[in-house]
Amino acid sequence: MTGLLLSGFDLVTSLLATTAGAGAVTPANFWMPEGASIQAPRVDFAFDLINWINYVFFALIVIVMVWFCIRYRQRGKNVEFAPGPIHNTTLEVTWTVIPTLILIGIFFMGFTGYLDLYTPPKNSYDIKVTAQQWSWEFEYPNGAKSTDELVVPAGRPVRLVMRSKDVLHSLFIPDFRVKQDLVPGRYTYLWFESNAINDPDDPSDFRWLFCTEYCGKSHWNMNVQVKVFDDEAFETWTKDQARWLDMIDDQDLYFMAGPKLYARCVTCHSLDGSDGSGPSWGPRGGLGDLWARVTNGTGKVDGGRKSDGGKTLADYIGNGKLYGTAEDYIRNSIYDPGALLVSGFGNQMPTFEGQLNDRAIDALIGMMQHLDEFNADGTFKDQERVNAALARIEANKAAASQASMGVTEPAETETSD
Amino acid sequence: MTTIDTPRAGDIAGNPPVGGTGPVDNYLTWTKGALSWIFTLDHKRIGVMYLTGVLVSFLVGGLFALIVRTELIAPGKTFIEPETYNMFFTLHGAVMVFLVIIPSIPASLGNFVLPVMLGAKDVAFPRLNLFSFHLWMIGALFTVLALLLGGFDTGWTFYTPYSTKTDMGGVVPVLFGVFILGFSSIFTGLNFIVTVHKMRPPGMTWFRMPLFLWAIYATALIQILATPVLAITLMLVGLERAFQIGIFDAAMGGDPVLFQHFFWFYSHPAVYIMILPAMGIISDLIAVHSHRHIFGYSFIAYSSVAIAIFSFLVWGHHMFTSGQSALLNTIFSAITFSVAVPSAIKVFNWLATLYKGSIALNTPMLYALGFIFLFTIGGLTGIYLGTLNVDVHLHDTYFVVAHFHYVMMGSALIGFIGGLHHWWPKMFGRMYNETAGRIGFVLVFIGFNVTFFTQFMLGSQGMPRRYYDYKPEFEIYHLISTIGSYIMAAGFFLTAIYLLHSLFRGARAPANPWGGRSLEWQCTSPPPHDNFKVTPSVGDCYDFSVVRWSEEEHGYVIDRSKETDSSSGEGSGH
Amino acid sequence: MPVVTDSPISDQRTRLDAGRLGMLLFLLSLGMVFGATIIAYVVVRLQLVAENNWKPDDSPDFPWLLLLSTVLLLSSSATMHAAVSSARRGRPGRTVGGWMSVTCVLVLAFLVSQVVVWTDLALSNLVFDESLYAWMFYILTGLHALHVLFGLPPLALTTRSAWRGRYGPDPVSRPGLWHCSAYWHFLDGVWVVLFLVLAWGTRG
Repeated sequence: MTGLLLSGFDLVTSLLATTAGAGAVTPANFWMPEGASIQAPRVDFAFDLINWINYVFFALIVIVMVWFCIRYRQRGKNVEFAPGPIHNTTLEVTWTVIPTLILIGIFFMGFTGYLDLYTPPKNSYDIKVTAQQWSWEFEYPNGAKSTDELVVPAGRPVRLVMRSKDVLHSLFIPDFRVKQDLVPGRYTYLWFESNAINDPDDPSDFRWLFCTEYCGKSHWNMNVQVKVFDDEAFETWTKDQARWLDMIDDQDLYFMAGPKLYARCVTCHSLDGSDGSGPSWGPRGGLGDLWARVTNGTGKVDGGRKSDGGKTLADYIGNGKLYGTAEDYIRNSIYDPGALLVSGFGNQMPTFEGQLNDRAIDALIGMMQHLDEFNADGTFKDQERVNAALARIEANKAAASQASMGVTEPAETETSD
Repeated sequence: MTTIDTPRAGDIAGNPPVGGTGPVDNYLTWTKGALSWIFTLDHKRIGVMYLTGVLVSFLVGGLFALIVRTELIAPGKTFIEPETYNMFFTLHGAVMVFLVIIPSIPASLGNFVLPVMLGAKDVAFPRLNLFSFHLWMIGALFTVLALLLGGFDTGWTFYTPYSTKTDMGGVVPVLFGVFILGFSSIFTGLNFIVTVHKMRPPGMTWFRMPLFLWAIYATALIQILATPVLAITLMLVGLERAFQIGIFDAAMGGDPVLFQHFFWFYSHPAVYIMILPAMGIISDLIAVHSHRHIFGYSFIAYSSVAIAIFSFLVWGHHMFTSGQSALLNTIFSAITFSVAVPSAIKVFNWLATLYKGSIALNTPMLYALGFIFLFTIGGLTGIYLGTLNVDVHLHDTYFVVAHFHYVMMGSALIGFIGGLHHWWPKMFGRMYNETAGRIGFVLVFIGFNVTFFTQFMLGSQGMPRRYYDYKPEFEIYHLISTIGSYIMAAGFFLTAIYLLHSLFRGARAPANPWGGRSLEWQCTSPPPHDNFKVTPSVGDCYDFSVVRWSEEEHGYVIDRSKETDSSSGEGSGH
Repeated sequence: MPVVTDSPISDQRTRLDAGRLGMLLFLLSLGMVFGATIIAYVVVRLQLVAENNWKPDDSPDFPWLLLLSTVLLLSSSATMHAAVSSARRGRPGRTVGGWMSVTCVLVLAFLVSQVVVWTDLALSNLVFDESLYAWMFYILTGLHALHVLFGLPPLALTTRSAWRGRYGPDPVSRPGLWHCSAYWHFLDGVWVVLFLVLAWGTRG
C-alpha cells in the first residue's frame, strides 16, 4: 500500500517536473497560489493528494450521518427500540487499519518531501539574511546589501543563511512554498531554486516575502518583494547594489538614495503625519514636519527616560549641549535610538550603526529637509530630475567600470553554470 | 404559585423521596444568600458558578474576536491601531484558551455531572474543589488586572524573547494569572481522578461507566501531568522578564526554542484537555438522543486514554519550522499521525451508533451532529499540517488558524454548548424553547463555517496569521469571514436570550427529558442537595430498551419490569 | 474518635485511601515541576558546555556544604519515618511528638544551611544575573527550598497533634502524619536528584 502510494507519487512528481519545465510557474488554483520554485510541485502534489483523500472521507462521513438521521428519525416521543449491533470486531478493526495505512503513506510522502526542502544542494548561492524589528536585510557575497527587495539568481539553488537580531521572525515566500524561523542566537537555513524570471524593468513583477512569526507592532508590515533575475540581470543588479550610493552624485543623493533607504523606515515612520510605531516624519502636533521640529527645537522629548518628560529638543541641541547640530541629533537617533526618545514613544527602534554609512545618513537627512518634494508614499515628485539623475548614474557607472578594467571580480558574483 | 421545589411524584425516576411523600429539596434553593454560594461545598453550585464565570469570559473573549474580525473586514485601518489590534488578538486567545475552553467542560459541566453520574453526594474533596474555584476567580482577576495595567501583546503563546522584551505592562500579571489558573486546573483534575477511582457505586465497573466519565478521567490525567510544566515555564518567563536573564534568552547563551518545547509540552496536551471531554459529551449525547447503545464502547474508552498518552508525545509538531532538527521533526510528524487514528475511530463509532437508532433531533443532538461535521473537518485538515513538507508552507498562516478553530471552537466549544443544552434542564429544572434552540444552532453552525472555512483558503494562499493588514488579493476572503463571525455572534446572542428566558419562564423540566439512562437522569431536576437519598441502582447506562415516554410525567421513565441486570441489554451483534 | 469532615465518602477506610491517592497525584504533579526544571537545566548545560560558555572562569567551586544539607535532609526523612513507625506501633504521644520535633529541627537546620550556601556563593562572586550557570543554580535550589518552606506550617501542626497523642496504630487515625511524611520523603528524594544534577552540572 505504502510502496504503491510512494511509487505513484514519484511518477506524478516526475511528470509534473517535466511539464513544469523551464517556464517553471504552476498556475494558481482554488487552494494554492502560483508555484514558482522547483520545490513547489512536490508540495502541491502532497496537498492535492491529501485533499482528495479528505474529500472522499468527509463526504462518506457526512452522507452516512445525514442518511442515518433521516432514516432512523424518531417520530413523536416514543422510543422505537430496535436491537442492533453494539460491537463488531471485524468492522472496528477494518476502520482502524485502513486509516492507519493511509496515514503511513502520507507520512512518508511528507517526510521524503521535507528532506528535499530541508537539504540545500552543495553548489548553492548563499545570501545572508538579517532580520530585526521590523525590517529585513539581505547581504550578497560581493558585499552588496538590499533592504527593500530580495533579488535572487534564476536557475540555481539559493541558500539563505539567516539570523535575527532581536526576537523570533520567520521568512515565508508563499509562491516558493518555503518557510523558516529566524532565531536569535543561532543560524538557520532555507533554500529554494526558481526559474520564474521576473522582468527587472517592471516594478509590478515580483512575489511576496512575509514575516510569519509574530514579532510585535509592525509584524504585519514586515514584508518585502522577491525578484528572480536571469544571470545577466542578476550580475548587473548585485554590482550596482554594491556601489549604488557611490554612483549617485551628491546633489542627487537625497531624492535618489533617500526613497530607497526610506523603504526600511516606512514600517514605523510615515510621511503624512500619522504616527506608527515611531513618530511620523511629516507634520505632527502643530509643530511642523520632522526637520522643522528639530531645527526649531520644538519637538517634545523624554530625555531617554519616560519619567523625565516635559522637555523639548531645544534643551538638547545647540552649542555646548548634548548634540551640537540638528544633523548630529538625527545621526545619533539612527545609531543610538534609545538615547533620547520622542514623547509618547517607547524604545522600539533597533540601531542601524554598521548598516547605514555616512552617505546613507546624508541621504536620509536630505530627504527630511526636502520633505515637501516627496509624495506621501516616499516617492519623489519631480520625475524629470530623477531621469536626469539616472543619466548621471549611468555615466558614473561607465566611468567606474573603465577605471576598474583589469580588476578581477570576486568569484561569487560571476555566473557559474 | 408553585415553587421550584414542589415535590414530584417520587417513583418517576426510581429514587423516591425519603418517606415517599416529603418534598424533594433542590440544591438551588437549599440555602440562600450570596455567601452560601461563594463558600458552598456543593459540587453542583460550584459547577454553576464555574459555568457563570466561563460564559461571562466567553462573552468577553467573543467581543475581542469581533473587534479583531471587524478590523480585518477591509484592508487598511478600519477602526483601531496596529498595537491595539495586536493586544486584542492576544486577549482573545488568552481568554478563550485559559478562561473559557480549558475550564469549560471539566470544571463547569464536569463538576456538576460527574458526582451525579456516579450516584455520589459530591466529589472526593469538596473543600479542594471550592479552593480550585477560588483560584480560578483569582486567576481571572489577574487577567483583568493585566488589562488595566496596560494590556499585553505577546500572543497567547507568550513566545520568548518577544514576551520578555515587549514593554507592555500587563505581561507579568497575565503570566501570574495563568500560573494560578493552572493550579486550579491541577486540583480539579486530581479531585476527579480520586472521585472516579474511589467513589464509583457498587456495580459500576470501569467498563460500565458512562463514556463522559472516561473522557473526564483521561483529561484529568493530562491536567495533573502537563499543567505543572506550564506553571514552571511561565514562572521562568516572568523571572526572566523581571531580571533580564534566563534560559530562554539568547543574549546569555539561552535558547528561545527551548521555551517553545516547554510551552508546547503543556499546550499540546492542553488541546486534548479541551477536546477529550467534548468527545466524551458527544459519545453520551449521541447515545442518549438516538436511544441506542453506544457502538464499540471499549474502543471509545481505550481511544480516550490512547489520545491522552499520545498527546504528550507530539508537541514538536508545532515547531516544524522553528529550527529544530530534521530528525526531531520526522519523529514528531510520525507520532502525530498516530494520534489521528483513535480520533478517526471515535467518529466511526458515533456514526455506527446512529444506525438503527431512534434519533430525536433535539437541540443537544443537533450540536452533537454539528460536532461530528466540524470535528471531521478539523481532524482531516490536521493531516495537511502533520505532513512535513506541506506544513512548511501552511505553518503560521490562516490555514492553521482555521484548523485550530475547527478543533478548539467547532469541536471543543460546540461540544460544551451541546452538553450545556443537554444538562440545562437538569441543572436549572427548566426547559428552554426548542425551536429557538434549533434556530440558534443553525445560525452558529452556518456562521462558524462561513467564518473559518474561508480561512483555509486564505492560509493556503499564503496569508500569514496575526497580521493587522493584508494584500488586496485577500480582501474577499476576509470580508466573507467577518460576515460569518457576525452571523455566529447573532446565533450565540439568540442562545443567550432563550437560555436566560428559560430560567424564568421555561416549562418545568421532568427528571428525564431526553430518555437518558445514566444516573443523573434518575434524580429530580434540579437535583436535591444530596443528589440521592438512596444510593441508586446501577444498570447498563446505554441500555435504552427500557426507556418509555410518559405523557403524565412529560418525560421519560425507566420501565423496571423490562430491565435486565446484565450489561448485554441489547443483542450483542454479529 | 469522631472526625468532622466534609467528605462525601462515609466509609473511613475508603476515605483514607482517597486521601492517599490524592496526595500521590499531587506529588506526581509536583514531580513534573521539578522534572521539567531539571530537564531545562540539563539541556542548557549541555548546550552551553558545547559552546564553552557555561561556567564563568572566576566562579567558585561546587559548594560542598551542600553535602551537609543533604545529610540534614536525609536525617529528617529518617526521623519522620521513625515518627510514623512509632505511631504505628502504638507508642505514646511524646515519642511520636519527640521524633517529629527532631524532624522540625533538622528541616530548619537544612534551610539555614541552604541560606549559608547562597550567602557564601554570592560573596564569592557568583552573581545570579551574570551567568546562566549561577541563575539556574539559584533557581533550582530556591525552588526546592520554597517547597520545604511551604511544608513547614503543616509539619508544625502535625508535630503539635503528635504531642497530643492524636496518632495511633489504626491508619485511619493518622492521615495527617501519613500526608506529612509522604510530602517529606518526596522532597527528600527530589533533593538527592537535584544534588547529583548540580554536582554534575558544576563540572565543565
